[in-house]
Amino acid sequence: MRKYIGKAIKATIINVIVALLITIGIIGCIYLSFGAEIDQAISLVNKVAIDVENKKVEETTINEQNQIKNYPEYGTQYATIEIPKIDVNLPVYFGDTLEILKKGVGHSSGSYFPGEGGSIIYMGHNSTKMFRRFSELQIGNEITVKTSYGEYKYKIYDMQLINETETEKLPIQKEKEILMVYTCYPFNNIGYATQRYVVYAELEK
Amino acid sequence: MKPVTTIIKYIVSIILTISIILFLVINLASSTILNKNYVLSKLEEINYYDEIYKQVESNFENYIHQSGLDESVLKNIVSKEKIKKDSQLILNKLYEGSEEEFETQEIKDNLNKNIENTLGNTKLNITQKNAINSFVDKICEEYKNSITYYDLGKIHNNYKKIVKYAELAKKVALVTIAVSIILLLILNIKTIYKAFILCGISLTSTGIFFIIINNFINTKIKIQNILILNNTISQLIRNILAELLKKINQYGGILLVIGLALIIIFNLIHSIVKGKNETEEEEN
Repeated sequence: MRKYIGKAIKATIINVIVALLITIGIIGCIYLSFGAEIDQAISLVNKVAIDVENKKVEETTINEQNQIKNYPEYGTQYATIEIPKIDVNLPVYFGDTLEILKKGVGHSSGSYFPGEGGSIIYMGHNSTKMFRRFSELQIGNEITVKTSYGEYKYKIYDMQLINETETEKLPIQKEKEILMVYTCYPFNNIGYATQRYVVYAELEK
Repeated sequence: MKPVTTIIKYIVSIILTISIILFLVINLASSTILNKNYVLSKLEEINYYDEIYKQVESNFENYIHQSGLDESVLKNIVSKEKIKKDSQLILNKLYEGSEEEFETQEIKDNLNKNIENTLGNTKLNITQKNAINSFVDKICEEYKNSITYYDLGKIHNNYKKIVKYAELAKKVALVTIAVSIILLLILNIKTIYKAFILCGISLTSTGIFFIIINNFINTKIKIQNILILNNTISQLIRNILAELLKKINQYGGILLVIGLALIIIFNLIHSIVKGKNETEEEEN
């Protein structure tokens, strides 16, 4: 009987090796035929599989000779905006989603950061806690933006009323540092506002 | 002739393995992601309707700050029952191609009623009335955007195609499995246990295949970290994927055990029968 068992074990091992080879062959064939698609699918899924707990802590944002390094993460607060004339002191978040605007002032992700020397676009609701008193602002009033990498003072030089679709009135350029802050108009509107009140301010030398 | 027969036997065994893999994968998909009732049960499992309700309310709040209206106008404008009904409507559109559209009149009426109550006798000019109408429309649009995600009609058309091909592939796989087993029995008619050993090899290969696939996906993708659209949808996707992988692993384990059992038992029988025949021949 022992002889038979020995032979059976030997044959079983050979059969398992054959089974393994068949599996490897099938996997190999699948990979050769669809390897690129499989890799693409994995990388696509991994793009939305973020390990929040073990996420690397971002380095602090710094400004070296008008060159911002380590930009803040989208949706995070990186500054505060102070407008003493209307008692405004609000957090500024990088991003402009409705969810962000619920928390504070949003920074349009397509615009430059304070200290970069270009157009900076900020926006906020016209609620009493935010920019309801924008109409009281006058040319020459000061706006201070305190970021994690420095403090920037701007002086208001213009105010304009625009339609929500007039994006050309909020030009993106990198010749001069201009801060554009806008809110919905009328300030005490009821319902959905289609106009925006924009305050233009330039960096103080 | 013998080597040719042996090669044919192994080729049939490989075809049997591929057919079993195909059949099981299609079966798994048909009973899970392609099955409306399965998805419905998963929605219940994660309290989908409650979560979406919270999210819809939160999305509505995004509009209130710029509206100049009190937050109370958003109170009870949409019910959990409506969200449940509309979520099921999405699944009907997705799986059955239902043409029924989302009804937002109820939300509109409730919102207008709340706004009227808040404003009381305040006289509104035409601009303000238009702004309120725009606000109501935005809220209804936001509701639709919060519960639907993609072009459902397009997804249904793709779903129909997938189901059609899956059904066809399932039938082909079943026929191939039957033909392969019959062929193995015919090719091993004199030593029938060899046919069972070859079936065992096929089942073992399939088992190993599923176990490798499960481990491969688990190492390459961190399923528990997947984040798509919002937390509720992400949780749903994570749960379904985790269950699919668990089932793949279970299939792999069961097939591996059955396959190994077939190989061991019939190799033992083969060894005993061969040994006895040799003894008889020696005695003769």
